[in-house]
Amino acid sequence: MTETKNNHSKTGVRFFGEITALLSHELKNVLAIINENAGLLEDFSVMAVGGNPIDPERLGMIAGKIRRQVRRADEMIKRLNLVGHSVDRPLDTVNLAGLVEIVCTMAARKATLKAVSLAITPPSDPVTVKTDPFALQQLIWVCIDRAIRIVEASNTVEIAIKSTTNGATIVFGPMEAIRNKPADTGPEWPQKELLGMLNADLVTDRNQGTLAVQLPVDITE
Amino acid sequence: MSKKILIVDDDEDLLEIMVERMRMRGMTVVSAKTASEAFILIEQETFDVMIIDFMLPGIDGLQAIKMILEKQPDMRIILLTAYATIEKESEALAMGAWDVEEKPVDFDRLTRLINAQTGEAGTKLKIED
Repeated sequence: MTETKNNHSKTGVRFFGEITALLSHELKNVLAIINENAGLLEDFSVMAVGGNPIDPERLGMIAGKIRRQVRRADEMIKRLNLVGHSVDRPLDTVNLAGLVEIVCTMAARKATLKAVSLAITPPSDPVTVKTDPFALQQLIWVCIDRAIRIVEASNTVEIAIKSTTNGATIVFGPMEAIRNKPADTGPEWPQKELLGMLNADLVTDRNQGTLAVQLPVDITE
Repeated sequence: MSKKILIVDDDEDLLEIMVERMRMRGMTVVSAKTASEAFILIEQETFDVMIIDFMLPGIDGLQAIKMILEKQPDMRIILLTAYATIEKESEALAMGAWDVEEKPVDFDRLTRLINAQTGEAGTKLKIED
């Protein structure tokens, strides 16, 4: 029991560490752009002292660029805040499409670096499950991370959310890599504990080339 | 003579503004969004200094440094990184990078480094034609 708890903690810390590293890295990029825009304003002021007039239109453009980076940073911090607060309630009713979208946006940079796109097919009606939001986020992250690693560059990882008779499913793929190398499809992280916490199953369909997380409608039932 | 700089970063906003600020300092600047694009440019032209971001789609900055220095061991390469750790810095320097600069970059320091490469004094700001 203690070992299982330790594994949960390690997995959670690792997930949070990776998210924090990824987003803080992105925030430093945002700061770099704001910093360069501030530098450009300084350059203009130095030139103005030398008798070169400042173009007001240009100043407006710089202000717009700074504002855009502030919005970008704000989105990142909101996401980080959402992940942070997902541990507040160990059991909650979760809108799956919303949760998948949050995790996808956090993984977007990772996907870009591999030249892979992520595309969510939302359900026609909202699909909700009563579950542990923090554990579910981690499991979705594990699956997206794995999908990004195994798909070829320039491809898209499709993610579909569907309701089932017993709950819901999140389907990743189709991916050629799952069809061709079925042994190489399992997420590297200790997902067994996560699956146990969520009463979920992770199903690989070699014919379809998909990886599916099957969730019960309520983990307490 | 104008210094010729190749700058590689996949963030278009950052690339655009750094190119502009360097040009305002009289440098000739060519930009690329990936290491693969940079390899093509290096085959075609000679650069005094290359500035490359660590995190790039496909081939990352460290891999690119290794590949470029194998072909052009004298190339001066400055690695930009948004990592706050010194591990990447040490790795890049061991690989032959000329310098590593953490983002947000101190632009004056970067300019001094570039000037040091060509042995020139500081460059004054000028308006582009």
